Amino acid sequence: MDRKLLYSTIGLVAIGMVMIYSASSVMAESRFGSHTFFLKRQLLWLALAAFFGLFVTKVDLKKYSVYSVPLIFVIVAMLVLVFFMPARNGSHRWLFIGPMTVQPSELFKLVVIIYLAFSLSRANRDIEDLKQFLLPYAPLIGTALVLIILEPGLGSALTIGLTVMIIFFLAGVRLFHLTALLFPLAGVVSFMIFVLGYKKARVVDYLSSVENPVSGSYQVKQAVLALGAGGVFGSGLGNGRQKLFFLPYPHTDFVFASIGEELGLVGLLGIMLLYFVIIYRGIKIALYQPDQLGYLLAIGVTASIFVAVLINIGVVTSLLPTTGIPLPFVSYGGSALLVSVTSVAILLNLSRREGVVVR
Amino acid sequence: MMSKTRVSKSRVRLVFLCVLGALLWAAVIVRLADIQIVHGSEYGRMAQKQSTGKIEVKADRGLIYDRKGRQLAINVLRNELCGYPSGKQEIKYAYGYLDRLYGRTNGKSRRLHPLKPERFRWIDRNLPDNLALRIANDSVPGLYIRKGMKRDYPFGGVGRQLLGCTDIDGKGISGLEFSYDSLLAGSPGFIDYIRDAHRNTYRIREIPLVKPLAGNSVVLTVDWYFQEIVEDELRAAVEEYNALEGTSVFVDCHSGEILAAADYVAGGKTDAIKLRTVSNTIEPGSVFKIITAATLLDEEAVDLEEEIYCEKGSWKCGRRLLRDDKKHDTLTFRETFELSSNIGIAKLAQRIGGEKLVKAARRFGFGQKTMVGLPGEQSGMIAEPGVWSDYNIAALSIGHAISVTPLQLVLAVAAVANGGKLYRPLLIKGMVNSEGKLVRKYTSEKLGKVMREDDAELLRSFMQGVVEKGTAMPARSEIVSIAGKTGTAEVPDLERGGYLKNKFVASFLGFFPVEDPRIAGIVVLHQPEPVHYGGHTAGPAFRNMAERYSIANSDLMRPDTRLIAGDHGLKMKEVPDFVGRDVSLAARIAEKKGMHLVADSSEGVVVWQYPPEGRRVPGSEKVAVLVDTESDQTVTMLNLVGMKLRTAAAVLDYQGLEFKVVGCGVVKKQSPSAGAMLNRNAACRLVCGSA
Repeated sequence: MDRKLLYSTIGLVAIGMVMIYSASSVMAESRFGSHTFFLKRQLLWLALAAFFGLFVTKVDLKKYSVYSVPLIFVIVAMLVLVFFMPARNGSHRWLFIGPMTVQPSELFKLVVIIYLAFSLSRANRDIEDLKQFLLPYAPLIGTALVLIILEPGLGSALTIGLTVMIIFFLAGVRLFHLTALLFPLAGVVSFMIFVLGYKKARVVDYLSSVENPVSGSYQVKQAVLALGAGGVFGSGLGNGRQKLFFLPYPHTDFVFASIGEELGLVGLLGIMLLYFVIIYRGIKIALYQPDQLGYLLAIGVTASIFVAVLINIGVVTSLLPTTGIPLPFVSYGGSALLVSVTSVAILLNLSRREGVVVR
Repeated sequence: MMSKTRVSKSRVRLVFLCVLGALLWAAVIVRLADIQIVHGSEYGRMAQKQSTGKIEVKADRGLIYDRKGRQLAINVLRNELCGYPSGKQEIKYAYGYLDRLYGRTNGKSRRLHPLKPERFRWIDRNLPDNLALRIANDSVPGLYIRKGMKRDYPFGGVGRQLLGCTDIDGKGISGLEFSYDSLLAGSPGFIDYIRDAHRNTYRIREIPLVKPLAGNSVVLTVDWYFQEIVEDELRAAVEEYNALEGTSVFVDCHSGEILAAADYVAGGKTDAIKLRTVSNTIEPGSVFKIITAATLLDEEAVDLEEEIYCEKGSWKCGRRLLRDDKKHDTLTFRETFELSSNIGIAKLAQRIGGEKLVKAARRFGFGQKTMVGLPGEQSGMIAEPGVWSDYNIAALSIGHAISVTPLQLVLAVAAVANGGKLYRPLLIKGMVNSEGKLVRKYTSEKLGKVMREDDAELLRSFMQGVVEKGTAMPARSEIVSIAGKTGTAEVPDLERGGYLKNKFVASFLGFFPVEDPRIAGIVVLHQPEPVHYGGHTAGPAFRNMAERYSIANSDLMRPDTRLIAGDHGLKMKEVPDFVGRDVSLAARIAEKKGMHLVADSSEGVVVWQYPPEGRRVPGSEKVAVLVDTESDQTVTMLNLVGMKLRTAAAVLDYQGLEFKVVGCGVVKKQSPSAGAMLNRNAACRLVCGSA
């Protein structure tokens, strides 16, 4: 088992728990009358994720990966189902099952990786054939992405889309085929933005906020102020003021800004180092895999973590337009935690395979 | 099963992706460094600002002390009731509660205090303690009690024109409170607090970030004991001589320090807005002859032995007629002054001419502000005709065609009294900061030497003669030697020009004690009737003031009187504090002191006394005390016979009884008789006579 990977993950989750409490306690107290409201829920999800993760590290992935085929259809059905659920913060991202909330787009992110790894590694698949490349995947993944965009969850769609592209890219799909795939996608996106006016304001905000972060949208401005207020060493754990309803979603999508305020640049670089370790170990594990399935699985989950981290930090630092995605391991959110812990569990599982010696 | 080519192709692509990823990773770190290091302090300030609120903390206003350290203006806590209801329900309840609290008719509070949800509003900024306690106990939602500071004047109305007053927020709006507001006010501090985006407040600090700086205290040159005497006597004089109003000011001859300054308007309509002694001008009349005489002496234009023909009371000067009140044949210069012959002085003034008189007047400080530091000071005016006719010269020499403030006159006569030195008036001795350290000291400023010492000495003897054997004989005192000059000026007719018939400004300008002049002062009475002579109205008032002050400061008394006072048990005694003591105990204390206590009941606790504690009175004087009674409606008539009229009047005033007085001095008869139970507002009658 890859200990460096394990400890980095535990470190990130631990930091996440502390920061969720620090960033959410004021809001939790004011909204739910209990300052530990969010912390307790996240701890419950962590227990579930750890249990499931432990299970994943032990199973024979080659045997179990076949279940991704029916599972992906279930998830797509869930993506349809979210539109019949009440909206939260203006978007249909969640399924409310009793006291639990499940985010199917997060689940889809993981399941599609397993599905692609399973499907692409099959012996009879000739990936360089456009028909074999397009026909099985394009309708399913395209539908799912459109559903996620419509939630609206552009950030999640972007993460999934990029992860899928990376998997295809490394699986050996012809570059010409891949770029051809981009054209209709770019067409759809620009049609939505410029003709339907979808998030047009965000685009305008974005362009000005790359130049001057505090001139952008309220959310980005508050995130940047939080980072600035933290400076190099931060204002100290628990001393942040931006969480006093200035910074929206201080414990979820903008938890990185909350950390930046309380722990400073030093804290943020520490977190980024932990991510770096996870990604580095992920790539290493991928390179030692004896088969295409393991290689694509390892590459896929590593890529999904990297892309999510990059987009989240890009948004918080106003390099990217505002779009809400959670920071893996750290942000509050049960589905996201479950998915990222499982992703690492998959990597750990792969690191234990016969012939894999990761140092 | 993987083909070698596919694997190697994938490795190349992976390396490409890793390089791309590393570049993006580095770009994010650069961006973070830019935000957190390069722009860190800028963004940090913006974040700090939006989450920081400020509460102003008021500074303590400086106090005002008199020259002896008595507190004249202090700060006391007050209860301020304010409304900050959260909703309609609370507002409705608060209205009902306020109606009951103040005993108002239903719905009156709604009209008086229109409350709105989540809006702050003052309801009563001076809530009595008992009501405040009630509200605090009832803890009415939406109503809050705050502790505020209120300006309080322990001496009540005494010297209010000098002190002025403040508005409800403690800002000076008149008098010294206004003139020295910037120094008294200090500077406010503030408490910073953390607030969230919904403007809720978190963690208010107890200790202010910027501490309020308490204002400086002002120490006046005024002696409040003297101020009280002057006000008391001025009121008595205005009432006794039926004047419209009176004003009086006293200064220390050797420094220009103002010792007392008071106004009184008939009927008690004195306003706290202005002090007439600096803000109103008068035509001085005969008191100005002091300046004329000083100029004559300075110019050596007159021989003391010389006899001046006074035209038997009527002299045609130019085209006009100049008159004397009494017909004089020939008088020496000294007699002219002592008897205040207009003709004599006017004739002598012709020798020096108008220009020199004007020059002298300016030298003595007339026609310019004294810069005493009180609001609304007037400079006065000296009329300067292009060509000086005989009459113009005559008019100026006897104090007409010139307007002066009483303070200017006093400073001029102080110069005569001290041997010729003119001082700038001084009202502030110094500034003391909140820690009791002297931060600024004001010293007397000599403006110049206005006359020779020997001339001043001679003029002083003239002025003594005025009191001893001249026009101001009623101002003569056995207790303190007074010198001065009377004035009985006609009142200018502002509408038609010329002067009003039978309307006079009576004044007495002088100093005491003659042997070693220390205090100069003036009493001006506007339009006293029917007696309008300065010597018979303002003169006695001046004498009373000088006597009462000298009694408390026995070194001012005549040397011979001082001895008599010591030998014959006339020595003044200080009235002890009887308030709060049992009547029987108070009576025993009074007996020991040799005083006679008059009470309205033989048992109970004393709640009021007159004369007040610390007042110096002759040992045999009767002291009146009143006992706490259950009844609000009735009062018991005291045995007032043998009591000084002032004491008796104070008692009746306090009891709320109306009274009429015949004569003055000591009460001889009273009705109703002692022991009678009277309703408040009942009428009484006192007959007085000399002791």
